Amino acid sequence: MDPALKLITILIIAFEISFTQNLILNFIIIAFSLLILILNKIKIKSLLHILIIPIIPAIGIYSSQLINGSANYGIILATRVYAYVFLGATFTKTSSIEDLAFTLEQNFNLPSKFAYGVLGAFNLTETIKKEIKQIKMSATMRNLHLTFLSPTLYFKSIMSALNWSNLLAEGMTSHLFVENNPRTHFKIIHINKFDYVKIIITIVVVQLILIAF
Amino acid sequence: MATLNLKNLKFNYEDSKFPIFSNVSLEFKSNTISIIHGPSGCGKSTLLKIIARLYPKYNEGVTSGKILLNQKSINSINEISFRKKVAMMFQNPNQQFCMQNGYDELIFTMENLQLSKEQIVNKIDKAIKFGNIQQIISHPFDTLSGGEKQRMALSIIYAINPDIILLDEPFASVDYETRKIMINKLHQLKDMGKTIIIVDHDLSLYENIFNNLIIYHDNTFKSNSYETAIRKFKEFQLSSSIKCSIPDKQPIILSLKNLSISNGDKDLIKDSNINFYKGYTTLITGKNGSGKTSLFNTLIKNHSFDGEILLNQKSIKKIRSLKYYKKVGIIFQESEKQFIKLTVKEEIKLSIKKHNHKLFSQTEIDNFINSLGLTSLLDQVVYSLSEGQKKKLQILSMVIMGHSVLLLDEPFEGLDLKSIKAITNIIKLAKQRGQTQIIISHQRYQLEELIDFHVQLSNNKLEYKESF
Ligand SMILES: Nc1ncnc2c1ncn2[C@@H]1O[C@H](COP(=O)(O)OP(=O)(O)OP(=O)(O)O)[C@@H](O)[C@H]1O
Ligand SMILES: [Mg+2]
Repeated sequence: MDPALKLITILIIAFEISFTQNLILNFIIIAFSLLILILNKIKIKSLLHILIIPIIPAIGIYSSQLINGSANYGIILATRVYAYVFLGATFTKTSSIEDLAFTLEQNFNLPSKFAYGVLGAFNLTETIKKEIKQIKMSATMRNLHLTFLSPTLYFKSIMSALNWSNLLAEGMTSHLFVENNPRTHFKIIHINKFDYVKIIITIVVVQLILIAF
Repeated sequence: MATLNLKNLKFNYEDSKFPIFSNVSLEFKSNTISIIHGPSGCGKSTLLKIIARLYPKYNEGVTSGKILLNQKSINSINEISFRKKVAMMFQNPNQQFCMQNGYDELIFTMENLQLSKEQIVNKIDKAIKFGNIQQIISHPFDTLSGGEKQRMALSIIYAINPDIILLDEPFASVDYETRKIMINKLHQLKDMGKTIIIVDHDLSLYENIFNNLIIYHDNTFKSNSYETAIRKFKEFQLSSSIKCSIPDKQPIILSLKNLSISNGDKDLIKDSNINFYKGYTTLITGKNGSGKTSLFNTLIKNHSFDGEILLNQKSIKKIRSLKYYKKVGIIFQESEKQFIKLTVKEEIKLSIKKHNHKLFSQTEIDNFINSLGLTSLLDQVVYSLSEGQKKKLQILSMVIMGHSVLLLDEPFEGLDLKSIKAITNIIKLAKQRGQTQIIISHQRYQLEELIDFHVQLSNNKLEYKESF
């Protein structure tokens, strides 16, 4: 499925579950996402990751509702957390960020600058992560022990990320990227007509579940 | 075919009183290779970026004077047609790549050139042949060696096929053999009618292909007569190989036992045994991509390995990182990785305050700052330094720390001879005061007086050699 359409569908569903209280829908979403993830051969390790990490907020939310005496609502909220995480995971595990940027540029008329901005932003998180590791090591060699709470660590990594994003624009220009100039596309991304059918069916099914339960 | 004229060019950073250079009037014709040479920080990269119309757009500076491309002011040319005619390779390849690997970067560039799919495929094929990048084209940039990145960057410029080619230290990280091959390719491009302008601190191998040597002098860049140029080139003639001894019974500090390391599926070092000796400077050489930097990464516990590494007879796996990094320090090939602070002064102060062993007195350090030409830069932000200035600051900050073992990864990259000499003096003094040093360098100027032993990495083995 086209990554941009997929993202839109997921956002619609996520939006809907935040305004309705339907335990069954949450479970169906989780089960369905899980099925998609398994069909896409997700690694056991990543699966455990998305199962374990939301436990703390989910339990927290559940127990705070329990104190207020509304255990049912607590379960809905807790499963909602999982539904969000699973929806997000289905997107990130089944689509590439490059394809998302490319389809936004080619099929949704987003200016190329923004499409590459999206790409840049995703790479930036990766860059900052590596940057933090690098800075910690360089600092240790200078007898400066930065912990995760040290302001220097964040100041420095933000500085270098900012510097990097300035340089990125210059680098793109040097490789002939000129704003508003037409470009060709090596990888052409067509939206399949069935993709639209899939979105509509998915959303209708979600409404039916909401009505039925 | 294109001619480029600079008329009375001057450049000022907004916050500085004096121009970086002024009165620059030069002509570059087609079918020529011009070489620009000058001390680090004199404004060579700035000059190229102004010609490439990247400055003043991407920095805070003011230019005056004229730049004419085929007698037309470059600012009057539509941007994309200008970029198709004039392309520049940056001194720091990391600052030029915007995608994840060479293949995607080439596609991105060719899409900007508005080529069709078939044309792009064709261009990529040609670029691969030109730069011999088949093996590395789809590897992520952050896994490539410095020399490989430069070959990739040059191949992309070739694929753009501009009339005017600007190259900023294009061979700073490539080995001598590759340098020879690439300079030959530039010769072919010249014969095809290109106008080539190269900034290089190293003048070796240009003697037979250059048309014009431009040297920085008195705040400006000037052409030189053929005779002066030839005389200048002579300074860079490589001495034939230099003899050194093979170590024998010196006290061992680092010992590698049955060491094997690999990078992904590529074996780099296989089952090698070697010792490094206390208080000596050992040079490590090897081809681009042979695994020298990976070996250093292994020695700073940042790369997995099989076998054993002992520091003073103790397995480094058993030494905690915090303690280990007090003993073993590294000077990274990419200078920016080393910086913690914002300005030059803060960076040096940090090292003085936090050193492990006091190797130098304050007076000595002040002298170093002076001899490295950093005195007037103390308040400058580290990111805005020229590449050579970054390198010098980086080395000074790390040497002051006084590690027992210092690893230096290409410490002379992109530096002029005067700076190399100043750095060699500092490193030598640190050695006299007890430091053990291991240096990776393909650059051989001034090495004679510094190097005690030479280890070669070839065919996945580390071995002591009698010369380098
Ligand atoms: N934003 C800035 N403000 C003030 N000075 C700057 C700024 N950016 C760069 N400079 C200075 O401009 C000078 C020229 O830098 P440039 O990078 O052009 O030197 P270079 O000749 O290429 O040196 P190298 O051989 O080391 O690469 C340097 O002294 C540098 O410190
Ligand atoms: Mg430079």
